[in-house]
Amino acid sequence: MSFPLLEVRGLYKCYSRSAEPAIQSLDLEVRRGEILGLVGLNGAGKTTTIRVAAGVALPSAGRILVNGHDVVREKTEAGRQAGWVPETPLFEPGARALPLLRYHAGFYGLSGTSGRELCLKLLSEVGLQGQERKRFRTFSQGMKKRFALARALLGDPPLLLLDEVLNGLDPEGVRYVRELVVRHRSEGKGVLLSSHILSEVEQVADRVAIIHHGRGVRILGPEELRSSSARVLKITIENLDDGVLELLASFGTVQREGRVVYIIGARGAPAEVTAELVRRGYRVSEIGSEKRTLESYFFEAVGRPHEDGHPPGESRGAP
Amino acid sequence: MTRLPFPLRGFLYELRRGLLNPALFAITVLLVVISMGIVTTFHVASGRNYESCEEVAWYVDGAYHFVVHVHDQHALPIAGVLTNISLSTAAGSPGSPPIYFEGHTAPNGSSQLVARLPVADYVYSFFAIDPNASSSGWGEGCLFSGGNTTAIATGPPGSVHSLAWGTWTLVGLDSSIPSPQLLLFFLGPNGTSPTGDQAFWAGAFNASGRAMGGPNPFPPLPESAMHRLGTFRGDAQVFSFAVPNATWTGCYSCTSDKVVQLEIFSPTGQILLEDTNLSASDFAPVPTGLLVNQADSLTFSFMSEYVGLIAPFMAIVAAYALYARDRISGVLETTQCGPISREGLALSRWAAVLVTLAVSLVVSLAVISVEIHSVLGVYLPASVLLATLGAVLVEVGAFSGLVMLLSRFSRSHVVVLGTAFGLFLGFEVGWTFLDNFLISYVQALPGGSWVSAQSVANQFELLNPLGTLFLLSRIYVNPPLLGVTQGEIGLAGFLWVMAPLVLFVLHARMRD
Repeated sequence: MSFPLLEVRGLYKCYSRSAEPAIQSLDLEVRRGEILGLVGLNGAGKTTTIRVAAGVALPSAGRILVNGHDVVREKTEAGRQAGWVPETPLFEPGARALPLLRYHAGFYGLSGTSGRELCLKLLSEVGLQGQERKRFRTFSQGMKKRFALARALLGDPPLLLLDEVLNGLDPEGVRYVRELVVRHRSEGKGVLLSSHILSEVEQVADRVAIIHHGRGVRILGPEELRSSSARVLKITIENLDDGVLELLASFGTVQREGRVVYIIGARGAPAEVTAELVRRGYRVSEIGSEKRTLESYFFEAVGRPHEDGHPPGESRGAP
Repeated sequence: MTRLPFPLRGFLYELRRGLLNPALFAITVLLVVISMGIVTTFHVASGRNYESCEEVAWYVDGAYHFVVHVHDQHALPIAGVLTNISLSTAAGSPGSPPIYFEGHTAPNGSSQLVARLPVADYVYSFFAIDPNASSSGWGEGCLFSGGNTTAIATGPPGSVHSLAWGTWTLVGLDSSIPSPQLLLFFLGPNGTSPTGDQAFWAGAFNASGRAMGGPNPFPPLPESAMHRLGTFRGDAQVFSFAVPNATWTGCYSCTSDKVVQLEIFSPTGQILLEDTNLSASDFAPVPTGLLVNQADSLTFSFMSEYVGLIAPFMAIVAAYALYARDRISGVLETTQCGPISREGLALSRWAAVLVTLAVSLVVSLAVISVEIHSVLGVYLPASVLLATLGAVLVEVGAFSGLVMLLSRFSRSHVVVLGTAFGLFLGFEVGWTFLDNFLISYVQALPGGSWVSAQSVANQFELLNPLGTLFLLSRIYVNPPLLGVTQGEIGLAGFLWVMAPLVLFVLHARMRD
């Protein structure tokens, strides 16, 4: 199958006529065997994107296909293809874990003894063994998140939609999620992982989509993400021309931004590179070594905090 | 793995959740308790409207013992009634001053008066008057005069004689309708309690030419030849007693007068009393049609007054507990993300509410039906039960749909519940004002009459989801004056259920 597991085309979402749209013309896709990180400031539209993909919010415009099924027109089948873990899972406080999971299992045609065994296995897998009969009012946020994970895994969906899944989880839970998404990828399935913890995204994602003000502003591919772990030389050259790019290509992957050249995965010491440039007649005003991170890409894409008049943390869209 | 289609699996879960919901369970219990109260409405409806007395006497150890038992038409004992026996000297000795004995009935309705007098031929009279009788508007009590004590002391010492009318009474639920119940007041020798004694009856035809109360032409029958009424547990015992025609056997001179032969046996099988002074017409199978109609009317009236008021309240609570609360708090989303359509989820929850409440109402109707049968000896026809259930389900369906619809527009618990209860009050209380205004207005119009005003008011009632039950109850009262047909009532009820439901489902499908 060549089509992606999640295909978002021209997504537009407005919660009310008077409000600014939460999502404006967003395009992204999650391929098979891929973890797509979704990062953005608060209110950028991450949660709304995931809620629309999960079928709990309706798109105002655009098309969202989950494993080829339209989330609006083929809601039932699309719902079977994706497991959703919301940022703040809410469950009926008086309900007990196992009966509720069995109820949800009924959606997937899983009932009887086999359904019960599957539910017990999932609860155990997410670390809720021994909590099966407890009511949700006694659950911590982390336990609710674990339950939401178990619920998302019902029916073994090919796509996982994880919204800030690491929030509220203890270190053991974080490790479990990390292993889960990697295992999911290795099985040829897909994950859309939204998180504020960029280092976690960076660690597991194959690609990262940066959204800002409801628009997709950049998608970082594998090369860029790989570069985040490589050494980067930043050189400012007064009389920069195209020849210098050819010259520096022998030291690593070259990127130019104005009078600044980045050598990603630089081979050789800064002094060696400077000597070669000076020998060819280039005037080097500054040279330094730095490590590029997802955070640096992120802020390059969305601007530094307060630069655009929208302070980080401003909420604009999703409820 | 076992596969169950979601609508069934999910619906069963929702249903279970609804049935086990503490608030709904409490309301269901309340509903059943209230339903049990329908019997009290029978009594209250007819009220205490007459007093009846049974009197017995015996002579032992140099004293006349008189016992008067006073009860109302429901066979309920009347306490605190003033009882008075006066004895004058032997008949034919004018001028002898009478001797009075007075007492009051105890909570069991009985009063015993003892006259220590030598055996003589006395003329006696007695009366029993409830001091509250005049203020409560019912009869003046029992009064009997002109009896003679000769018979009291002539039998075996301590043998009990009934005075005046006898020791049995037909007890009606209402003064206007016969009843398949019989009150027997009976005391053993020396006034001993008849507890454990057995009462039996048999049907017979009166002897030709014999007047009621005349000499008994029938020999006592053995227990095996009679129908058992029951066992005495006290002096005054009420037995269910409906005489079916088919049991009328045996013919003595064969007149058309049917009589009931009643016998009381001791626990050892010794006959203690035989009485054939009972006219069968008093016990003839009660006119079933009349009773059924009255039961129908009572049921509709009761459902309209009590259950009809509680049902919308139940619907609001159920729809809130099973859908609106989850929708408002966001809990519903974790269900909505699964492989189910938005409208499917909405419908399954609505259906769960309806079935949950239908179960409660069926239990309630079953209680009412059993009670009516135990009291009147008839079952309500299925058509009445179904019409009543259907009418209440209209209320339930309409209000549950409205609450669910409201929760689609507001994310506030207070707004949703407040609006729902506001609508309920509007349809229940506000509607009455509108109705009265409309009736007055139509009557005031040129050519307006009470009948035309009622018709218009009834048509107006079609716009009220609580009106279905009311209108159905009125069909049994006076169909020609109703102004609306059963079909119109049914259609209005159907629309009241469907309109909120369709809007709710459409909104669930097309909006967040």
